[in-house]
Amino acid sequence: MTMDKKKRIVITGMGLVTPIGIGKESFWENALAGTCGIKPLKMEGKNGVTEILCGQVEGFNGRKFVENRKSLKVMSKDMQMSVAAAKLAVDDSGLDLEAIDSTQVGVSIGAGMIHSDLDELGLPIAESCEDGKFDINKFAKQAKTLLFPLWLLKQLPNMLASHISIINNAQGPSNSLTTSSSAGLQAIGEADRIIERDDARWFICGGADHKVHPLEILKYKLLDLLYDTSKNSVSDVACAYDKRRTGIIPGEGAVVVIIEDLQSALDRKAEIYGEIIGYGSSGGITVSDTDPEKYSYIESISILNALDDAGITPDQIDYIVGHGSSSVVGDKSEIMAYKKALGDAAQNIPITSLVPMVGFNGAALGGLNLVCALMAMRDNKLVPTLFLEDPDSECDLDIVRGKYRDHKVSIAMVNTFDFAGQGATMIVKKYEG
Amino acid sequence: MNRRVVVTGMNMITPLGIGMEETWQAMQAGKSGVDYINRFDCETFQTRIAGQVKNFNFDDFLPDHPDKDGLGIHSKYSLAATKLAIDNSGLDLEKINHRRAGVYLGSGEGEFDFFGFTDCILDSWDENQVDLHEFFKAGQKYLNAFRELEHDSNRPAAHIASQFGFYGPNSNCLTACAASSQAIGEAWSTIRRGDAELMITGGSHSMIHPLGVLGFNLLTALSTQNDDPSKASKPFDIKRDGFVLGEGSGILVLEELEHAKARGARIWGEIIGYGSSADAFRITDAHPEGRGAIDAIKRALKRAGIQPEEIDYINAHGTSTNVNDTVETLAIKSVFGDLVEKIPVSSVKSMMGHLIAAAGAAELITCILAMRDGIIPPTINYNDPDPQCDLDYVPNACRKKELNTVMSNSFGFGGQNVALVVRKYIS
Repeated sequence: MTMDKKKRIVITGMGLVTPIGIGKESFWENALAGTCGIKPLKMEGKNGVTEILCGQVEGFNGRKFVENRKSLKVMSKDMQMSVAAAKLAVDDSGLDLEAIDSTQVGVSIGAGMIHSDLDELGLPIAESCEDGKFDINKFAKQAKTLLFPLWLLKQLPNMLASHISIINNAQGPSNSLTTSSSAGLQAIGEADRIIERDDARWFICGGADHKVHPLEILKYKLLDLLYDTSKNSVSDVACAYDKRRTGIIPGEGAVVVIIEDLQSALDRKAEIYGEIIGYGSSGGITVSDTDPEKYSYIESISILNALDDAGITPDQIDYIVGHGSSSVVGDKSEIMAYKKALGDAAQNIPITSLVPMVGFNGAALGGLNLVCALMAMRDNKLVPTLFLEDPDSECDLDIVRGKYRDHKVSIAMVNTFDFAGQGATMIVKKYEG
Repeated sequence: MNRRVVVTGMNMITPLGIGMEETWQAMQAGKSGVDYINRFDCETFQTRIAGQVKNFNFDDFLPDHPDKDGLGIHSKYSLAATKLAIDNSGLDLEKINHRRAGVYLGSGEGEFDFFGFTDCILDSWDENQVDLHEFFKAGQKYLNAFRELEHDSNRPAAHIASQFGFYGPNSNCLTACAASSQAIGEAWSTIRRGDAELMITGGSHSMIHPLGVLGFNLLTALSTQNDDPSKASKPFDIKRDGFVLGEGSGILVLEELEHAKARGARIWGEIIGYGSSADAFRITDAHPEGRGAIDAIKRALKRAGIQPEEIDYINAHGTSTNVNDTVETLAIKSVFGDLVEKIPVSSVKSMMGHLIAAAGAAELITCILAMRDGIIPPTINYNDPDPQCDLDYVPNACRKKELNTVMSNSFGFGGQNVALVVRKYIS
């Protein structure tokens, strides 16, 4: 295969808003310590409470990150978290946005499905009943007075990138990817390509998602993909690659990184966390496909495309941060994909899933996995896959479990494989001049 | 070395027709596809008109699709348009390299199950808020699993890849009204770099549903000229008062030139330029001087390696909103200067309405047909000039002109801008 890698591109900033920490050091400390950020979300009512285990970002205050209070009002939680993660990433990179050409700063952000606040949209619906029946014509009138004019803007997935562009005066190429849990990694991969072809020098890229919304939880429930809610102990359900896994634990968060061409980073003496050496993606999984063979075949294409791009062989990979969503079919096909794409080398590469710590956080997952890989390279420490006790016989690779593991990492592979669409793979290398 | 990328297949499902030739005939005749909305009861909505796709029957395209009963409208339109585009590409799907064939769409979301949702709310509303415990129970009663999943915007790209065996690079972007143009630009870049030989690209979208119409009405973005639907979309006319919703899908098959030549493919045109930028101004308004639009256009010209005078025609974003049409005019004048006297600019949204995420793809396909036939589609409903919009908008009737190089603009709500340049293929 012939691809043109023309330019070296590095990661120089990381910003995170996660259930186990806001900011990279706080996240990393908790990840190494094996902290779990999953807690029951209490959906309360008159006749009872529905508790669903979720990876929730607690204590997040958008006001701390957004100066303009007016714009805060038109931001959903995903948007607020993405703006916060972008700010943390820019601060971490030391990039002086006012001193550089703003048309050379791009923004590429993965977003999930953004649902309306239930009470906000519920009110005009509830006020539109005629004899116990919903009347759409009454609703049109009620909504006009009860919803605020910019209501729609709170649900548009491109608003994450738009807000980040505005706040950071980033006038370069701008994109919003919506490939579910692969959106974050694809946003970073695409940013890498855009810098490579000289359309920008710096990129603010990553993703944010808020799956801790009743409608998202319902979606998993209806699709029979939610974890077994009759079990209420986190350690019994948040178990990626484990025999006991029963399904997805919804999560939320935002992870944004700063990437730039190597020369720019060297010129400004930035701390370099790692170099992007390969990226690939693939797609074609639909819900009517339940065959792990097809899943893994398509996922292996993403890995192979990234390997070709990096020009490395599988045995050069020291570490994999996996998708590991704790889904029954997903985890199994992911491991099959590693075996297909990496051959015998797959047996010797340690693998981590962060999902048992933070829940399944959709478009935030790719950035999170990338940060985990970069921090592992910095400290030569691998984060454990929490709660893994009894690995599935079909997940028979070296999954890191128990305590963190000391392990030298020079090249790491990061994956996200959405159950209903797209996959993405990125390969990063320790920067050694 | 960067590879050359050509269009070897394309088609569209629009309010003007099932298929591109039917759509193109209607455009040349200056017909409007806008009429009263009959999808849902909208008697008290401020806007009661839209360009709806008519006579669409999914069974005419993929009668054996395993998920056909549950597919979202965006998935259906895009699968149908892809089937037509693959047919006219002459591709033998048995022979493609699955790894090197991908999909990049700019598809919008599927239709939200609004009436299922209202049932859930009515079952769970308690004074001033939702009783979440009841809502969760109601959701399991009234909502449908597949329909919820088909609300996601990445579904069409996944269905297309699965159906046609394009398992390589796959993505979906949703930059509002710029989405499918951006998808085409990124798909083009994917082949250009050598990451694939074939890409299915474009977009699909419908927002002709209660919350779509309501949401845009709240923003005062839609035309409320309900009395004469076919006249409501009037880009650049001083009486314009907002855009008119359309829906549909435009799909293109992009192919690396040597790959296309080797199989003797028919080449519809060559994509040569793509520019993307952000206004970074306000989420509600375009930059008043068109800063981002200008930058996107300049970037596309630069990437194409051509001078402004080489552009024979500009297919405008031309939404028929007050701000867009003024700012777009300013941006075009800023880049092209005196050349604007010789460069016709038209907006086909005057006829098919605004396909939102799918608009750019349908419009680029229109540009390629315009080049093929040497005919510029008109801006219809143009009667009263706006002094701030003083370009040659090809008013009301199509015009003959040989076209070799054409630009298509798409500007997204929130300030994401895309320009594409396409050229007649010269070997």
